[in-house]
Amino acid sequence: MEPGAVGGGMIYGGWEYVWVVYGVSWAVLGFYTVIALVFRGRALAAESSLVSSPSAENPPQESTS
Amino acid sequence: MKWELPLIGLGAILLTIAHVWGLFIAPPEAMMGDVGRILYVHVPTAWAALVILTVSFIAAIGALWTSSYSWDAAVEAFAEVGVILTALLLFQGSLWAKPTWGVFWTWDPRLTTSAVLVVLFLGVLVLRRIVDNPEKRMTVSAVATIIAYVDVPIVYFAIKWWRTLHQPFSSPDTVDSAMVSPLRVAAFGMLFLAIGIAIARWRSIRARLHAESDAPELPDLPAPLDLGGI
Repeated sequence: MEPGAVGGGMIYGGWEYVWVVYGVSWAVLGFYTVIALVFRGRALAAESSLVSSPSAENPPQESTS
Repeated sequence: MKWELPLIGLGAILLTIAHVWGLFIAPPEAMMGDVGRILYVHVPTAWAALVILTVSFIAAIGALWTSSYSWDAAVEAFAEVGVILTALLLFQGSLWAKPTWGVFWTWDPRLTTSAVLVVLFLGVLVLRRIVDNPEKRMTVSAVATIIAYVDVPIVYFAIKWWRTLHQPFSSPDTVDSAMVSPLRVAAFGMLFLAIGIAIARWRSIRARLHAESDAPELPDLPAPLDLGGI
C-alpha cells in the first residue's frame, strides 16, 4: 500500500490528537457522572419522602402525651 | 448498600492514576510514537462498553423471565451507559485513525460493526420512549436488547473473522510489558466508573418506573365538542 493511502504506515501528528481524545473523554464521562448523580439524588429524595409520608396503610401515630 | 458512589470514586481514582502513568511515565509506542498513548483510554472504553452491554443483555433476559421493573430499569440503565461508551469509543477511534491511517473513518469491519452497535442500542432507548404501556415496553425493549446484543460478539471477533486495518486484541501477548500495567489499571478504572454510573442511572430509572406504575389510571377523555361547523 502506498504511503499516504489508508493504512499506508505513515504517522502524521501526535500529542494534539492525544489531548483532544483525553479531554473530550474526561469531559463526557465527568458530565454524564454528574447528571447521573443528580437524577439519582432526586430519586432517593423522592423515595425517602414516600417512606416518611403518612398513607392509608401507614397512618400517622396519634400522640398520647 | 449503595455501591455506586464507592465505585465511581474508585473508578475515577484508578483512571486518573492510569492516565497519568500512560501519558507521562509509560514509553511512547514503538511505531506510532506519542499518539499511541490513546491506547490507555480507547481500549478500556471498548472493554467497559462490551461488559456493560452484556449486563444489559442479561437484564433483558431477567426482565422477560421475571417481569420485574428492577430488571427492566437495568436494561435501560446499562443500555444507556453502553451507548455513551460506544459513541465515545467511535470518537476516540476516529481521532486515533487520522494520524495513523490517514483518515478519520473507513468502512473497516471493526469500525462498521461498532457503529451499528450504537445505532442498535440507541434504537432500544428510542423504543422505550415510544411505547407507553409499561408491560409492553418491558417485553418489546427486552426482545430488542437481545437482538441488538447479537452484534457484540461480532464487534469483538470482527478483527479475527475479516481482514481489517484495526490492530489485534490488546493483551500481554500483543502489548509491551511496560504498557500492560497502566492499561490494566485504566481498564479496571473505566469498568468501575461505568458500573457506578449505570447503578446510579438504574436507581433513578427504577424510581421513575415505580412512580409510573403507582400513578392512578386517567379517566377516558370526553368526546370533543361538536361546534356545529364553527
